[in-house]
Amino acid sequence: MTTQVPWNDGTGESLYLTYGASEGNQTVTVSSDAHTGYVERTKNINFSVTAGSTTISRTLTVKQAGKDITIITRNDVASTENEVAVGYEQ
Amino acid sequence: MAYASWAQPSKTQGNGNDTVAWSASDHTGRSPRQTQAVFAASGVTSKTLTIVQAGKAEYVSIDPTAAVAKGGGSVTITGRSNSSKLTFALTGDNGIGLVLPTKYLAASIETNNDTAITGDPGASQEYTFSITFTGIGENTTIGALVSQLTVTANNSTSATCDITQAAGDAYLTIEPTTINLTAAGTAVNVTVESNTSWTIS
Repeated sequence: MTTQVPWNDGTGESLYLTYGASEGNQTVTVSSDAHTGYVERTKNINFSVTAGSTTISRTLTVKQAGKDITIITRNDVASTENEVAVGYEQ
Repeated sequence: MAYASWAQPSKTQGNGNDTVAWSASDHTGRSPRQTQAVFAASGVTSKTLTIVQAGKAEYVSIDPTAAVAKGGGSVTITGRSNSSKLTFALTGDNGIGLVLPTKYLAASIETNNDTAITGDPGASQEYTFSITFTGIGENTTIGALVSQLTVTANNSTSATCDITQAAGDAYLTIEPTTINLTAAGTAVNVTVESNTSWTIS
């Protein structure tokens, strides 16, 4: 089964947690939509169990890097300014 | 010679023709017991009365239930019997995973399971027995565990004890607790360990 968790950062992108069953010992595979922004984003996901009146929670922190920025320095154009830095999407 | 204390006459003296009723305390041994009472009067030959009390049918009883802490440890189960030999066995599913001891105590005598009890104390009176299970492990589940002990007397009568181990605590771990995804969102695995169902939010 797969649980979709929105990043809620205005991008409409989500995290996906895939696992066999929501009980006992499991491996949960965490993936995400590609990050279209440039800034690392963080999401806390709570795992919890309830037994009687007791609830136990554990927090998984998921961090996703922003996409890379390529810095190109151009000095082969006529300009009154040298070493003009411009960022381009990689 | 005086009669045994377990025999009780309705009267200890009289005059002329009379009836004496005899009663007895509870006899728990398997074998019959007997005593003699002497009736004496001046100038006549004494008369002896033999009093016989039947033995109690062979039996065995045991604590019907026993409890083990969720953390495990040991539990002692007691019972009573007048049998010459007791045989213990774990019956049913043995959910606790008990290991049957090879010895137990019968009338404070260490006795091997399924072996005649030294001195056969049950012939004359009932005795108390006990059997102790040790090294019981922790219950790592959130449900109670149950095992059943059956004790059988030499005449095949039996009794059972339901042994219940209290439910363990729920647990939940995740490893690692922080993961880093690439910008492309490539999958990363997280291990969840629990003894019950869990939710994600």
